[in-house]
Order: sequence, then structure tokens, then C-alpha cells
Amino acid sequence: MKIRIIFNFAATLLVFLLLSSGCTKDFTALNTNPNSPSIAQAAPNMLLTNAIESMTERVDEIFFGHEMGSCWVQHMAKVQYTTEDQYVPRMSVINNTWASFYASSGYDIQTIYNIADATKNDSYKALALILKTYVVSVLTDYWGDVPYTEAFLGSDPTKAILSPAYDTQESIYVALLKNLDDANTLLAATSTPIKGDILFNNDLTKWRKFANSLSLRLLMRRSDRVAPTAAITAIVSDPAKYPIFESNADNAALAYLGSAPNNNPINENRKTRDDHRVSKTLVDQMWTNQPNMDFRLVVYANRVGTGFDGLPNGLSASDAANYKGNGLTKTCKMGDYFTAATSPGTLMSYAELQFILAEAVQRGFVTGSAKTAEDYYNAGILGSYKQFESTILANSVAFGFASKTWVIADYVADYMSNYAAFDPANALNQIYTEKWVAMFDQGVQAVLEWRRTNVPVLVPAVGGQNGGKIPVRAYYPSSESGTNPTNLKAAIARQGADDLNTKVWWDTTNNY
Amino acid sequence: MKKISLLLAFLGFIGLQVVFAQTRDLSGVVTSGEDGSSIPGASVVVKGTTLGTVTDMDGKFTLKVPQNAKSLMVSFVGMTTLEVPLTGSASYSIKLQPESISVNEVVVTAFGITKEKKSLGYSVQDVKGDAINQAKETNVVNSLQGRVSGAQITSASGAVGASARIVIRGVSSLSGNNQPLFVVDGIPMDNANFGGTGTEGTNRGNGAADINPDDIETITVLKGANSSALYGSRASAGVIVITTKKAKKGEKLTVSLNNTTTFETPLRLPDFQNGYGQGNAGQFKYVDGAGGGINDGTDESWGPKLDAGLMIPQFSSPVDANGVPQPSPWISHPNNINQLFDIGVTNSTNVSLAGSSDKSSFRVSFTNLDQNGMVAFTDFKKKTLAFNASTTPIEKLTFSASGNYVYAGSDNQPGYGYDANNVMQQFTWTGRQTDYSLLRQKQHNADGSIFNWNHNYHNNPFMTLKENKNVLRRDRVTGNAMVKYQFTSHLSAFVRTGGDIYSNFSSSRRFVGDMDYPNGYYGESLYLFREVNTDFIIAYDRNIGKNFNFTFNLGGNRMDRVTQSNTGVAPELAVPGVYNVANSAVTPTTSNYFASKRVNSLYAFGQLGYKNALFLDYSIRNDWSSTLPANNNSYYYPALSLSGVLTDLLKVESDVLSFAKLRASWAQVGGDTDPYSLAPTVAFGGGWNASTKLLNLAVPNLLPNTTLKPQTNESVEFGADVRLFKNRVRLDVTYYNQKSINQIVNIPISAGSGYTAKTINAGRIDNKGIEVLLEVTPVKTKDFKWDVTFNFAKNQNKVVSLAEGVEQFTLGSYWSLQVLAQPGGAYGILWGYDYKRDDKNNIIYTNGLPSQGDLKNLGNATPDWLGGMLNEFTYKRFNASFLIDTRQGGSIYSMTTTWGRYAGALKETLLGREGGIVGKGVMSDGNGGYKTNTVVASAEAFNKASYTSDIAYSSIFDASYIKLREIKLGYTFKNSAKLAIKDVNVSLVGRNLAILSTKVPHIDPETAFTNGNVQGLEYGQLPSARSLGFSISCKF
Repeated sequence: MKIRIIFNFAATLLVFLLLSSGCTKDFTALNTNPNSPSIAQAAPNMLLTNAIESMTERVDEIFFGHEMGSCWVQHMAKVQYTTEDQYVPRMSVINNTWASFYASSGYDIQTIYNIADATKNDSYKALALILKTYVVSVLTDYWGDVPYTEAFLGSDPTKAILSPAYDTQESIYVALLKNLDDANTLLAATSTPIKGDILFNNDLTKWRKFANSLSLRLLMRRSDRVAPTAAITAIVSDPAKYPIFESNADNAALAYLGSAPNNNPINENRKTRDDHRVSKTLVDQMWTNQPNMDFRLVVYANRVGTGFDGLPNGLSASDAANYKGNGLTKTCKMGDYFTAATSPGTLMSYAELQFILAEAVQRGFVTGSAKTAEDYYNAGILGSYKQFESTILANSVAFGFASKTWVIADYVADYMSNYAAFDPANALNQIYTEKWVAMFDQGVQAVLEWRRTNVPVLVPAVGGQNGGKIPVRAYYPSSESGTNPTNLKAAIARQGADDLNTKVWWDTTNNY
Repeated sequence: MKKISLLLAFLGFIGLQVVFAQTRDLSGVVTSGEDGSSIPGASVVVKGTTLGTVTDMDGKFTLKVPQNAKSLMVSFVGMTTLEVPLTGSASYSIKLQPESISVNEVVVTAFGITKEKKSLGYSVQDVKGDAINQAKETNVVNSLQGRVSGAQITSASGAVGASARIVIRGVSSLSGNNQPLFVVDGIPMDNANFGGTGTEGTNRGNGAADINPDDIETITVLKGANSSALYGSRASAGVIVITTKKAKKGEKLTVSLNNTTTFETPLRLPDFQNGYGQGNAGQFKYVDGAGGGINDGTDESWGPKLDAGLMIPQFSSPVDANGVPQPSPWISHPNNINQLFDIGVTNSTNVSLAGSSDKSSFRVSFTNLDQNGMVAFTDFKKKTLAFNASTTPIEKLTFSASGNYVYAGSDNQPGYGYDANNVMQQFTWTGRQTDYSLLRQKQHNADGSIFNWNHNYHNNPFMTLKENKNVLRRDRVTGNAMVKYQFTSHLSAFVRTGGDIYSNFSSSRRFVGDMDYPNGYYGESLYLFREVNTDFIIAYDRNIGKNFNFTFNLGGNRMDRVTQSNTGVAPELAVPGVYNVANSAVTPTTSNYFASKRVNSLYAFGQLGYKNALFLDYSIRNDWSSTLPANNNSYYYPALSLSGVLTDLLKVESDVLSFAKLRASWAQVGGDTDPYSLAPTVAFGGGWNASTKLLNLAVPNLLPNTTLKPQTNESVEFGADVRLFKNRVRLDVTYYNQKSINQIVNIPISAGSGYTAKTINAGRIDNKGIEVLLEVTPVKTKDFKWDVTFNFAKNQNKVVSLAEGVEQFTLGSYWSLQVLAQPGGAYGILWGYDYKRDDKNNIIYTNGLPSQGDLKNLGNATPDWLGGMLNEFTYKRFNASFLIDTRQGGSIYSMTTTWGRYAGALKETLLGREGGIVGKGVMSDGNGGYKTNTVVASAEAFNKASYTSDIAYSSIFDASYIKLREIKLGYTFKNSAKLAIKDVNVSLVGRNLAILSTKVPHIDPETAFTNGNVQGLEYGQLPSARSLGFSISCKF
């Protein structure tokens, strides 16, 4: 009895010992993640959906696009927690924006490119080039020199660069324009269908138009540094080779869905916050000559009583709360059109393109143009009105500003005759001003364009904490000083002080 | 006897033999030979048998002994064991003498092995179950507060079922778990933080909170790596070894009953002002509560003066025929916050049954805990069924098993943090004139619309509490079974297997019409956990010659852990009031996660003893972990310790020096990581829910690493245990120094790489410190005894290095403030914005207002030292005790102050309401220099500029406190031979009674924002509970 027990016990222990020491072969299987696909299993279309959503949402994000864009360019103003409107951006926002563009949308786009390149799928490859260009253009335009040639290589099997060097903005622009040209060439030659495209509903022709329109934006943005004539003329003169936006139907705009988390970020913000009002600068521009008015204001702003009143930028929290007795109720909220769940997130519009072309012709960047600057200018205003057509019609009639019989052309005609008739002597000023008005709700691009044009004349925010100036740059993120200090210091040494007033390379104008 | 056998048969123990023999009855009393006091709990055993009993509360015993019994062996901890020859007498008066030379206290160490405390080469501290049972904490972790030197305990709040965090000897891991391993009867118990569905801010408690205080015999705290090396990597932050109650040898069938009923009220609430009501710039008029009147959309209290005879339309005003509110008296409601709280009631009842025969013992216990939370409309329930049994069916073979079933649940737990569902958050943002009693009475108007003081930002708070329920249901089974065989007197072995298996369901609701979720919301999450540990030990114990003793143990363990979670969210509800994921108006989001991990271990350990006075302990352990790369998944770590009882070695016999021991030890502990940290995968995003759902895949921002190595924790420890004046003074001092290197940590990398973080081995954190435990018995007479226990612990934490090129590691951020680890500083730097200052450090004012200055180190969440003082008195049948504990040093960032001042709600905002405020500091003199600020700013403008997230400095406070933690006052009735009922004790008990000292305004500085590594933050604290009540216990 006793011996048997001892024997059994010893046998059990022996088995156990063997199990403990020998049985690590199954560890690899045990430690293989069953919850997520490997990168090899990920299809480009699945990554594409998220990349477009992530990129567009970040551009439209409240703290970035709305507050470091729309507020700084005085489309919007803050009525509560006004520090961002006083040019004190939050470092966490800067960190998050940078990280999101590089590591979230940017790296997803790079992964699409890598897969498409390996599988010889030129459609996805072209889309990845266009999207990467968009992301990197926002990065370089906000910060100046940023990582590009060494970027997105953290898990590269041969290079594995964790601390990428910063490229000059000048060289990045060359690379971005080449990306767009390559994308146009690839798309001209391929018809491989795509899926998962929530921006253009898998229409490759529209992607091609977007690529070339974006080229025009970038060419114009660096036009004070690099003469754009040849490149712009090449695009404008050969629509078959370089198709561009032809109407609002071609707009690069993400149609957000009705419910969270796919709703418009402003809609999501307004569910719990009420911190923003339309800027007095914009309302005064569109409403001063009442009853003559810019009818887009009925889309941009909700009325206060029967009229419109904007909020000055950069008031202190208490001054804003007490503005005109009650800042919250006495100034216009952003129009319902833009706070709706499905309000589109616009990356580039037909109207913007027309103003780019108007400027190009006016400044002589197009040789042999069939259309005049005035043609493009008029098309830009009409395009902008048409972008908001149904809302302009409905609200103007409801508010008693216009007759029921008017069609959109009547509104444009009324506005042009009272406000904006093309004046060759003042053409550039008009083009820039109209572009500023048309780019409402596109805070990021609006403030970038204003930095270049300095039109209209903006008075810096009342309580501005930036030495009496409107910011023309963002600080580098603190995450970079922690993780990539050597390269960051080199970029700052090359570019100038890391503050809100150091101009990026393409910005040669005198801001005030 | 019959009852016992029936019960044991019921429990499934077959083959039990109960001996019926000729017996006779003995009785007696055991007292101390020193002072004559009775000794309860002394063991009385018939020599040469296992028959015996323990003395009752009065030191008395009765015992049936065989007719042929020769003598009794009477023993008690700290007393010399006495052999009492049996005479013809049936009654004995036995005096035990104190043990003056050595103290044979035993403690439970790794693997549940009991050791004499004097032989240990490292510091352990134990807490008896009795000490924490009367004044019960629902969460047992809180019970250790102030009792264990070197343990920092932070409870999350006074919310029902809230978690508590315990850290021993400081934080050693950058991003990993810094809490000790909990081990119950030899089997690890998961102490995870229970979260819930994605968006909710509800504290669901921590795993160790499922341990039932009524079933605890002792809690032994193994503090450092030195004492815990044998538990492996999870023990590098210490081990809390819990031994559950078992029937004592010779214990007759005993039924124990106890009930504790306590009443909870908020310990501290913010001081609100009652001088001014809602509004801005002194103006207010209610029309629709959403901005339609004058400032009636604002949730700030910068409005008109209260109680000044003003008549103003308000939400509660009578309305005219058109529904327009009419002016009504503008008066304060100073007690409006009290409406959020009821008197909480916690009722806990335990009944247990224990008994033993000469071969078997068992105990079963049932505990029912019912709690009505002090936050209105919240509750918590916990039911525990525990059993414990062992039997020796044949000689040398012992089977034992224990098991535990716990149900913990709540129909509603309150929201916390900066979340609209936290009613304390909303309260800071409430017009001070608001009459909450009206809101509590009524949530809807006659037309069905919501009745509330504000319709711009806030819910009616009682809709938040009553409708937005956060439900919890947790079922947990833990247990183990063990078989042990004593081959010879030198050789024994056991095999044991045990598990911890639970399911944790939590759900969170938002009603249709909620301000954050206008279309409603429902989310639920089910977390399943299973960990099974199987281990064995072969133990060899031998005396070599007269002076040496040698032990050697060989053991192994396999740990298998599987976790799984399933989450479902209905972002909007189709049918209001029905909380089901299927009731989603849009595509619901669902996800699941599965993870498994295995660790195999082999170890050897033992002791070499010399003259039972000098001890050398050794251990070595090797782990194989599935989470590490195949070529690096095996790692070993050794430990050594030495202790010498000087008084024994040098044969000191003195009335002054009763005992002296020195000890030293060195240990390493290796560690692994989480499953799936090696290979990259692509993650599922939220999904683009168009008519055809598009899959959202995203490359995660964390770059995995295929070349990870095990992490290492190394420590040394020195200590002394000295007892003076016949043990009246007992001093235990420990110095330790430990460093954690090669940590597996996700370090931030430049986002330009395409990732924001990478998993690597890096960093070093050092903790060194001193722990002192001093026990003194100043008075000891026949009737009266006074014991004082002091404990003190000072830990110095230093982050020595992070990864190459990484200058800061962000643990978490809150508004503009970050909590950091930075080389050279202690873990938990509060990194935020100061005021703008001149070069003489004066605050610079512009137009009378301060502005944001530099980003800098504003403080640190880590305390300088912790301490406790316990006084215990016994006088005849009375006993009393009180416990005071303190935390000194460290900082807290209190957003209650920030937003309470911004909103004009706190008392300090009364300053300057009429005359304005001139800030202390300087302003520009117009020539590039500065002069004294003279500009008057309104109180509203001043507070709003000074107290925002942009200037964190203004809300950083010294987090030191002194608290009256516990009071007990009890009386034990004399047992009567006529009554079956025995050992009746009645006590008044109180916990968390008073903050004796603090520099933090408005809040209890002790409570934490989270149970995780990010400490030093506070907002909208649900106040901690002051608990007072009574406890009754008795036996049959």
C-alpha cells in the first residue's frame, strides 16, 4: 500500500517535471495573437477607409482645424475657454495632431503604398501617393521642416529608422509635387478597380482630378519662392492629360455619416460644448452693407434675433461671456449646415481651385490662357454659392432676405453687383478676399492661404499672447523634443526659433 | 461527534474514522504567570495525541480526554510550552510563563510554508484577521491602511464597490503593474482593475476586493523581492499572502455568528459659497435654461447677490399663462448638495461552522453584505460562500481543499472623474441658488419634458443617478485541492492545483434625452478570466549532528491564464428605455478579445540552520514564459538571506535585552510581459457604418519587438529585530535598496517613424528606504493593558534612466498637466504651466489678470513618508483602540479647485465680488520693466484667468494628511455555563472618521482619481465615506 502510493506520487512528479521543463514548443502558437489580422492579411481597401476617415477627421478636429485654423483666420471666435483664440494652443493638441498625421493616417497610407507596391496594384499606389501628399503638406505647412524622406520607416526591415531626420520644406515640396505627378501618370494607365473609398466612392477619375487640383494648390503656395508658370501652364493647357475639378461634384469632401463615431467632428463637439461663435471679422465682411449682403452668411451663421452679430477674437473668458451683455446669446453660432452630423469635411473644393486659377492668370502664371482672371473669379464665387445652394435658397427666403422666385444665379448677381464686381485694379485683393470667404469651415487651408496672401487685413486677437501677432506657424510637438532631439535641434537651427512667429519657407510676405 | 461526521460525509470525505472511546471531562483556565491575565486562544492538547482544544475568551477550556491520558501540553505564542501532568482532578489552573529568550512567532511565507519569524532573513509583517474583522472595510485592501509599514494605500472614493490601490516600497515599474501579488491559500488571485464598457467613467473595483474579511485568518505582507522571489515575476512588487480560517485542532463543533452594521456619511464635501447665484457679471434671468434668458445657459455662479431681497425668474418659478417664468425670491440653498447623499448603510453578516476530529477538520462560512450607497440611488451586494477542509484518511497522507464562491454586484454604481455622469462634477458647475430638493422630487414636467435648472449642459442630476445606471455582476470561484504525503520524518511532498475563475459583467446606460447622448446609449462588457496554477514541492528536512539543520525543497509550477472579453455598444437607442445592444438605432459596435499565457517554473529553495539561531536561506527559480521570444523565454533568478539571533548565539540572558536579531538578504526577480507583444498585427477600427459596412483596419501606433529580453528586479535588504524589557518594547527596522532594470516598456518614439511607441527593454528605477515598526507595551497589569504600535516608512524613489534618447516618459495627462517619469526625479512628476513671472518670481499681471507662463515641474505625486500609530487598550472585559495614520509630502492637482473657482462656486470666490481683486505681483511699467500691480480686476475675471487648466500651478497642493482611521470600543460578556451562547462581544466601530490635518482645500486628499499608475490627480471626487456602526459576534 505504502509503496504503491510512493510509486504513484513519484510517477506523478516525474510527469510534471517533464511537462514543466520540456513543454515550451507550443509557446509560439500560444503567443500568436488570434484577435487581429497580420499585416500580410490586411487588404489595402480596409486600410484605405480608415486612412481617409482618420486624416479628414484630424483636419476637421476642433482643437486643430477649428481653433488653430478657423479661429486664427477669424472665421470663428471662442466665447468660452478663450485661450486658444488668444494664440495659446495646447501642447497636447499639437502632440496629438502630429502623432495622428504621422502614425495613424500617415502610416496607414504608407502601408497601403507598401502593399500596393509589392502587389503591383497601381490604383492603390496612386491613391496612397495622393493621400500621403495631402497629409505631409499639412504637416510641412503648419510646422515648416518636418521628417519626410526618413519618415514612415520605423518597421522597415532594412532601415528601421526610429528618429527620422527633418527635411527642408523646399525639398518636401519638390517630392510632394512629384508624388502627385506620378499618381496622375499611374491613374492614367490603370483601371484596376478599388474598394473602400469613402471619399470618391471608388471613382478613379475623381482621384486623378484631385491629384492635379492639389498640384495647383501646392504650386501656388510656393509661388513666391519657385516660379510656377511652366507647371501650371502644363496642367491648365492639357485637360486630357491633367484633368482637374470641373464642378462641386468633384470636390474632395468626406460625406460624414449621421451617427457617432462617423459623424462630423463639429457635430460631435456641439453635443456637449458651446464654446464657439462666428467671428466678428467675418460677419462684418458679409453683413455690413445690409440690406445688401453676402447670402452665404445664412449658411455660415445662425441668426441672433433677426440679424447677425459676430464675436471679436481673443477676448478674455469674462469679457467674452459679458460681450454686449451676454456673449453667449448675443453672437451668432456656427450655421446649422456645418454643425449637422452629415456636414461634409472638405479637403479641397471647386471654388478654391477657381480662385487659384484666377490668381494664376492674374499674376501671369498661365501662358495662353483661354479664360481671364475675371472668368475664374466669377466661377469661384458661383461655385461657392452653388456649394451651399439649397441652404442659401431655403434660409434667405425664410429670413425674408430674398424673393422665392430667385434662383442661385440671382443671388450671385445681387451679391456681385453690390459687393464684389471684378475690378482689375484691385483684382488680387478681391480674389484673396473671396477665397477667404469661400473657405469657411476649412480652417486649416484658410489660415495657410491667409499666411501667404495676408488678405483680408486681420487685426490680431484682442487678448493675443503672441506679441501682438497672428501665429504663422505651430510649435514643434514636445514629443519630438523627447524622442528625436538631435534632428529637431538641427531643424530649429536651420529654420529659426521654434515659436509661432517664425515663417515657413514659402511664406515670404510681411505679416503684421 | 455525530454532527461532525454527518457534515464531513456531506462534504465528500469518505473513509473518515471517528474514534469513540472511554473518556473523561476536564476543564481549566490558562493565565499568564507574569500578570495573571487570562490567555485566550492557548492550545491545550493531550500529550501524544492530536486531541485538544483552544481556550476561549476567558482563557477557559473544557476537554474530553481518554481515561489513559497522562498529561496536557499547553502552549501559546510567546509563552513557554508547559506540560501539565494529569491528576485525578477534573479542573486545572495553568500558568504559562513568557518566553524570554526567543519568540517563536510563526509567519506564513511563500507557498504557504509557515516559518518561525526569527529564522527569516527579510522583512515580513502580518495582520491578524481579528484586527480587521470588526471594523470592516468592504474592500479588504483598505483595511491595511496605517497598519503595514511601507504600504501606500489609496482608495478611489466613497462610491460603492470602488477600488483601492496598494503599493509597497514605492513604484518600481514604469508602465507595468506596481501592485503586489495577492495569494490566497497558496494560489494567486487576480487583482485586476475592473473596467467597464469603453466610454464609461465608473469604478468597478479591484480583484482583491472579492476577498472576504470574515474568512481571513492572517494577512502576511511580504514586502520586497527578497521575500517574494519564489512567486516569480508577478511578486516583484511584493506579495500579500492571505491565509483563510480553518478549524483549529481539537476545536469542537462551533457556530460563529457576527454582524457588522455601519452608517456612512461623506467625510468631507467642498466648501461652496452661498452669496451669489447663477449668471455672469451679476446678471441672470431664466427663460429656457439654454441661453434664451439672461445668462441662463451658463452653469457658473457669477450672478446676482443671493438673499438680498431680489426677485428673479428661475427654473422653479411659477409660470404665467404663456409658460413664462415669473420673478420669485432669489435665495440661497446652502444644503443643496446634501440631496445627492443619503445615509449609507452597510450590513454584513457572517455565519460559520467549524469543527475537527482527530483526523479531519472543516469550516464552512457564509457572508452576506448589503450596502446602500451614500451616493443616492446606488447599492452594492456581496455574498461569499467559503469552505475549507482537510483529512488524513490514512497515516501520513493528507488531503485538503478549500473553495470560495463570491458574488459581487450592483444595480447602480455612480460615475466618477471629469464625466457628466459624475454628479459631483455637475455640482461644481451648478448655479449656487439651485434648489436640489425640487430636482430630487421631480424629473419631468407634466408635458413629459425634463425638469431641470439648465438645459444647455446638464442633466437633471437625479435622472443621471436614477436612469443612467451602471450595473455590475461578478461571479467568482477560487479554490485549490492538495494532497500531501509524509514519506518519512525527513521527507514529504505535495501536489496542489488551484484556480481563480471569474466573469465580470458591467453595463452602462444613458437615457434618451441625456445631454451627452441625446439619442441614448447602452454598452456592456463581459470579461472572463481563468487562471490555473498547479504546483508541487518535495521537501527534505534533516538535522545534521547536534547543531545543524538542513532543508531542501524542489518544486515546480505551471500557470495557465486565459482571458476573454466581449463588448457590445448601442451608440443610439431605437426604443427609449430598453437597454439592449439589439435595440441600437444604428449599427452597434461589438468587439472581442482573447489572450492566453503560460509560465512554467522550476525552483529549489531551503535553509541551513545552526543551533536554531543562525540561518542561511537560499532559493533559485527558473521560469519559461510564453510571452517572450523563443530564444529568450527562459530566465532564472537567485536569492540568498542570512539571519542571526544574537541573543541566542551569544547566550544573552538579560532583563533589558530580551531578543536581538540581525538579517541581510539579496534577491533577483525576473519578469516577462503581456501576451502578443512580439509580432505586429493590424487593428480593427470603429468601422465606417455606411449602408454597406466598411471594415476599418489601422496599423497600431505601437511597434512590437521580436528581441525582447526578460526584465530584472534586484534588491538588497538589511534589518534588525530587537526586543527589550521582557518584550515590552519591540523594534523592527529594515533598510532596503532595490533597482528595477531592463524593464519591458513601451517607450515613445518619434511619430515620424510611423509609430508613436516601441516595446523595448529599458530604464531603471531605484527605490531605497527604511521601514520601522515599534511596538511598546507601556502598561501591563492584571486588568489593564496598553499597547502602542508605530510604523514609519520612508521611500526614496528615483527614475535613474529611461531609454536611450528618451528624456521624458508620460504616464498620463490631464488637461494641460502631464504626469511624468523623468531621469533624476521621482516617478510621478506633475508637469504643467506656471504663471507668467518676472525674473524675481513675481506674477506678471496684464490688465489686472495673470497669464500662462513656463511649463515646469510643479510637484510630485510620490509621498515623502508614511506612518501609522495604533493604540490598543484592554481593561478587564473592555477593549478599545484607535488608529491614526499619515502621509507626508507629495502633491495633488485638484481640479475641484480649478473649476470650482472658475465657475464661482467655491467659498474663496466671494473675495472681491463687490470691490474687485488686485492680484499680488507686478505689471508692466511701460519701459520694459515691472512695477507693483495696482489694476483692479473683477472677481469673475480674476478667478477665470487664474483658475483654468492653462495655469495648473494655482491648483497644486501639498497632499499631506493625518487621519483618524479607525476607532473600536468593545465589551466581551462573561461566558455562562448555563447558556450555549459564548464569547459574546459587542463593539462600536468607526472607520475613516476625521481628517486631522490637511493643506488641500475641499477634498479628502487621500482618495485617488484612478487605481492605476497615474496618481496625484483629482476631480469631482465622490467624497470618501465616514463610517460608524456596531459589530456583534458570538459563538455557539
